[in-house]
Amino acid sequence: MLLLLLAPSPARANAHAVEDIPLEDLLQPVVAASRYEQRQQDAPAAVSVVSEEAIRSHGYRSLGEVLRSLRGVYTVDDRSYTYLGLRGFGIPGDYNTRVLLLLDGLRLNNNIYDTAYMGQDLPIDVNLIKRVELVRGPSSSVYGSNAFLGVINIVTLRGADLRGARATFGIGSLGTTEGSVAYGNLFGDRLDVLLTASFINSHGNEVLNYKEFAAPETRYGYVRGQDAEQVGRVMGQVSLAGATLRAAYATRQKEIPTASFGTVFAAPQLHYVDSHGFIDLRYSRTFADDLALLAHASYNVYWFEGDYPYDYGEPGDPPLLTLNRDTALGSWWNAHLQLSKTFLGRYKLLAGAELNDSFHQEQENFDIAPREVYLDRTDSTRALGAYLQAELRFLRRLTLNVGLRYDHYVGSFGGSLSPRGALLVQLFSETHLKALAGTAFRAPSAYERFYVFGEPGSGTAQLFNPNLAPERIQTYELLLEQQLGRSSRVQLGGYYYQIRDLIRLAQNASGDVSFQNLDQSHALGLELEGEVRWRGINARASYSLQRSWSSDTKRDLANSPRHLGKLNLLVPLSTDKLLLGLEAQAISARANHRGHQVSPTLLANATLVYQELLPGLTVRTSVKNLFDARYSDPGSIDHVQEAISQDGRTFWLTLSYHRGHSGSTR
Amino acid sequence: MIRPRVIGCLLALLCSALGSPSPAQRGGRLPAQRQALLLLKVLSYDRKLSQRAGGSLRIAIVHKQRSRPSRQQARALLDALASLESLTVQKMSISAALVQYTDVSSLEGQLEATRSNTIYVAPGLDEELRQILSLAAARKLNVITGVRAYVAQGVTVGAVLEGNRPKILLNLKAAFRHGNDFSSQLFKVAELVDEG
Repeated sequence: MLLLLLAPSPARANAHAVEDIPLEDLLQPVVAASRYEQRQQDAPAAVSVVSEEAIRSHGYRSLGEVLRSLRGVYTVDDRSYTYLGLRGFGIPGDYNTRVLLLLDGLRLNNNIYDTAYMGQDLPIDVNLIKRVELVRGPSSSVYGSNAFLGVINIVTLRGADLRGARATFGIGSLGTTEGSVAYGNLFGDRLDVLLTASFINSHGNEVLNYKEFAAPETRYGYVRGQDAEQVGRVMGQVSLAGATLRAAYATRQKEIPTASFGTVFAAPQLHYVDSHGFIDLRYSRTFADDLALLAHASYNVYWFEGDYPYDYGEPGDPPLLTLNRDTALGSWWNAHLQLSKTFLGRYKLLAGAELNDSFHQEQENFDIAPREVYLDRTDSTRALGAYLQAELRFLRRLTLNVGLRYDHYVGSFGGSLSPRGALLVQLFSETHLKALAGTAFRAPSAYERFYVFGEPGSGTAQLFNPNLAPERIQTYELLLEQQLGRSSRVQLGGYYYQIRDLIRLAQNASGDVSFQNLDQSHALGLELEGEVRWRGINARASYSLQRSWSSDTKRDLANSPRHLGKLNLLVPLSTDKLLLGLEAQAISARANHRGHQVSPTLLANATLVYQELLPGLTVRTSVKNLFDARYSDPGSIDHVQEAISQDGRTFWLTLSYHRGHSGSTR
Repeated sequence: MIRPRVIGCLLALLCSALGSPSPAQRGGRLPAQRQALLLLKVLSYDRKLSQRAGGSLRIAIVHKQRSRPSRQQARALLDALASLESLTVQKMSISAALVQYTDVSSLEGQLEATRSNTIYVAPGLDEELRQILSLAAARKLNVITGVRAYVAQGVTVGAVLEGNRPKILLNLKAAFRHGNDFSSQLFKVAELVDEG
């Protein structure tokens, strides 16, 4: 193969037509893989992009719904939060710490739990998303911690995309109403403004039943009116001459019906409140000699409050109900400076430095009355990182992409080096091969290191572990992409992951739990994806065969399905104003944390979009879980339930009115 | 004590950068590689391109030697086009040459010598643009650029950066003057620019 690549070729022997490059690839390049824009085929990773059109046409209401349409991705909803599974790794209850969530490049994972928000806890309204990029595999070589299993970058609309005002109102099953208003415009080609506010109010399921609580004293497992959710979000953004100032704040309250963490079943007090806000100043500039500068500074705040009703009474005694409260307050600065330059049109160098100063990580746990404080501590973490990446094109058909990042955690974990390499080969004019290898790390969160609950030795306590070390991953991947004519393509890929020092909750001899660096885990998988565009129809189908296991226990990891199948169809109907979005998702059986199997799932969703029904008015109606399948997601170590039952068929209707000129899908 | 110092340096850098927006920044310049690819892609939507070009797309990168930004951009675009030499547009090969602008008759001679059928207008040619466009219209040449303001002044196609995203600019009056016949598919994604 090397000889084939090195051999001089006739001038046009390996020519390919610019007509074969989708315009969308040029206008919507991938940013997340290298921290600069590049075509998907040039990215040093397996990348998927979900466009704004697909998000609207499939009626996605959360980031989790967007992502689980992609190959190798699945989600778990435990009626508290949505958890992401990626290529067979999806430890229930892990707060998605092993993926890095970015908003236009801004790190969103909070500094207490390291949560990547996948549900309505996301600080941004899904109606503001222009596209979502998923980069599979490690990217610590440019991002540092959390870019472990993947990176998700949300690219949002700008004022120029709206060019006017938009009001959206929706109603749906489970007593849900939601709405948003947005105004955006571009003034004088330079000043871009976007202002938006949104809300969601959902009563949730009126009645839920959990067979694990089917005893008379726990109301035969029935819990009523305890699945409600309220969300409020605001955001403002101003861009001028390459500088963008953005501020956002969002809060979400969720009632929890599952009696998680050993709380009293069906007690109405169990609820969580998550709030996240940030101010972000970014400046980007491209100089005449292709030198690009990106500077970035942000201030972020995260606040959590959770109330947990416990019965402290001894067995046989009358109940002694006590409300226990968790609070967390995190504040952090992030500053980032990056330079990139292209030489001779084919060599690109990238260098950057980043400071993440989590100067306030406060965690409290206490009983409200009588007041008993179990945890009251404030910590701080400071991480400095510097990285280099080179993208070098050789011999027209070969690109070598190598990157290296060094992160230093002041006063805690010390240094961590994360290399990544990719060899991208154009085998034939329409055949591309990527050979990828990389490493990544995830530093333990403040919660994993310092959270304490209960009396040590009681057998129900959670203990802190300040000696927790970062977990590490090493990956190898091959990806072959074949373009079939101008409108079809097939991708076939295989990967092997090896994780060391995986951080998990484990019990000690007295039954108390703490986070520990436990076992070595592996993942092995094959992925196949095909995409066809024909007469306006866009079809994408994928199949993933995957296995993730612990080398210590020799058992599959929890929440790791062997098979995933996805089908997405966008079909324009009689007029170009009417669009039908269909999708099907199949997940094979997966074990929960006790090793018990949770049944396979086949879900179908349908969405009909009528654009410009009246001037400026778009109507969207969706049926989720079209065939009313009964299915469950695996419970976590926090649950008594083996599995958490999910919603049956639900209906959603959204009206969106736009006044003004828009270059964006409504 | 690292935090205030590092953040201070960053903010100082931001302030200095914000305080002196360059002409390139005001125009929203796309990196040369992306600009080249996007402009070629747009030209591929011209239904008369191959008929007018006659077998090969030859791009003259017109720039002003005395202007450093103009010179640098021209060089960067030449490198970018050279790296895309394996591409074809409507089955035509692509070639590019640097052309210094001194006066219109010299430009005409250089266009003849290089047999160029497309002009890329580099930045720094604000004063000379009208003469370049007159010549291009007379010879029915494609005219492309990476400068937003030039599209409003009569260049047919622009590829620029708006915010952090690439944008296609299309001047339909100029397209008519220069003999382009773009597919309406392009209108869905391009920003149509009126001549100022």
